[in-house]
Amino acid sequence: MTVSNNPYRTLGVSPTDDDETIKRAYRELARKYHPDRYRDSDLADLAGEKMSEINAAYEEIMRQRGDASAFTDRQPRRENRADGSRDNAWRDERETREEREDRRRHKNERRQEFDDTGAAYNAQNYSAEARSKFTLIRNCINSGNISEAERLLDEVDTADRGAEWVFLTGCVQLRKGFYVDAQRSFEEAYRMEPTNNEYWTFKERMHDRAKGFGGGYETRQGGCSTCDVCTSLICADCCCECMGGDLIPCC
Amino acid sequence: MFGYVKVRREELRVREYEYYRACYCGLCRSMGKCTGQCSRLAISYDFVFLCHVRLLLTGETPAVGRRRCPVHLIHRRAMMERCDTLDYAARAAAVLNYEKCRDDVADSRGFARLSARFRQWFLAPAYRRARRVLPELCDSVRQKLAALSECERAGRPGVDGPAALFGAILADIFAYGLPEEKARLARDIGQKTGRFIYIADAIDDMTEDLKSGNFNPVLGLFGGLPDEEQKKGLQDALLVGLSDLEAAFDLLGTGADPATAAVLKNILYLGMPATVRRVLYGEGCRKEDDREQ
Repeated sequence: MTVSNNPYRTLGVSPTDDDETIKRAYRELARKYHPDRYRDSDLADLAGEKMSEINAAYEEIMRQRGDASAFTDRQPRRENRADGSRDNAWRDERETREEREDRRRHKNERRQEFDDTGAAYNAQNYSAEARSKFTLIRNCINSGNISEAERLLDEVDTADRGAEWVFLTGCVQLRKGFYVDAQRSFEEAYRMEPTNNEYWTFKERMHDRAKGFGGGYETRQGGCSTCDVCTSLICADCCCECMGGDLIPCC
Repeated sequence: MFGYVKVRREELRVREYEYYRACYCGLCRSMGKCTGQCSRLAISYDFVFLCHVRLLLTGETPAVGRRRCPVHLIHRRAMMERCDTLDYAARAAAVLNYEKCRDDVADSRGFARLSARFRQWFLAPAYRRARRVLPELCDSVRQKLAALSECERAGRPGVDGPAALFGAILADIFAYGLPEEKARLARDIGQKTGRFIYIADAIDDMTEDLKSGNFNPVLGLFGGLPDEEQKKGLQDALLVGLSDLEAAFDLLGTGADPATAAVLKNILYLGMPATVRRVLYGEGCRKEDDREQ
């Protein structure tokens, strides 16, 4: 683990900032490099490195400040853990083996895109051989073995290439980052079997992910204009007058 | 196929815009010096984007001076001085432009072929000069473009297959000559940008291709022009692709000059979504608007 010579620079804050600002900057960065964001990416290890750099810097700053004043929070991580949601971000570097094991299991659970039973689709439409193959393919996708899943999909008999086949093709495409094709496959699967909830969920999930993109650039200027100041004063005056007082005596 | 990755000018700070333009002018100058005056005509914003990404990765901070150029004889323009990054981008542009033309000659017929042949002849000297410095890159680009046209000719349905092949070309161009870790990051950004460019270009060309009967993967996927619902699906897919790119961008760091990262953010969050809206719905941001940047 490398701590750059200036932990403040790592977090992008200045040494004169108060604890609250530093904590906010740290949270912001931790969210940015959170392992969940790089789940399917080849760059997961780079993000992990960045994450531990940030953790180390934050710890260093808190240690320094803890020495300087008795009032600062000595163990920020424990406190933050209370909110639970970003547990991973504040995890201890010296975590125990059990903890690490636990996290890995948790991660694997998150990776699972659909339930193992594979019974979500309308099973009567397919032959027994196809059904067992679909279960196998689902397991492959869950465990991240995409090339194997692709090979199995190719093997499925043309007669059995119904909605489920189209859907699983879409899942493979999704994993490969082939979003246009994936979206098309999900729509196709949903069209073939409109009663299937899973197909609908996947179709909509793409839409939600797309909607979530684009908040990273501040184009609007914050703050208030002269107009805002005047109207607020007038409002405050009205309120005061209601209660019998007066804020602006001339009106 | 170029000009899909650019800034949204009106949202940049003046200082950032000047930085972007200095990079554009510097790249143009580098093209003149490295690959010949004729090659300067083939400059595109995509390569300015390449410059910015590589400037962040290499940590180079070229000085900005004021110079005259053949197009702006009277007023001196802010221009980045030549550096390795700009020179590399100039050569890479020459390689990709030429190889693309060479590919077009093989793929088109009639007048289009004649025009492609003329462009190829025009760009050949620049390519020869670039090849002397970057022979491996030339070979890999040629090989991958051949694979791409092979894939297009096979006509399998699907947009992302060929898009990934084009992404692989840009991945090579972005990552060439960088140290291992950074090359991986550059490769990832190149791959995703390439996919975006390919799909945006296919959407942009679909009306023309429908008339002329040329191959177009989007038309192939939908069996004709996409309807409103399908257009929304395409938009979603492109934006999800961009959110992947965002994750890679976050690993780039801020670099020495904050303007570099700011320009890249502008391109990712505003410029590229604007391109999506333009190619799908013809909204704003005409290509001609930005000719004089």
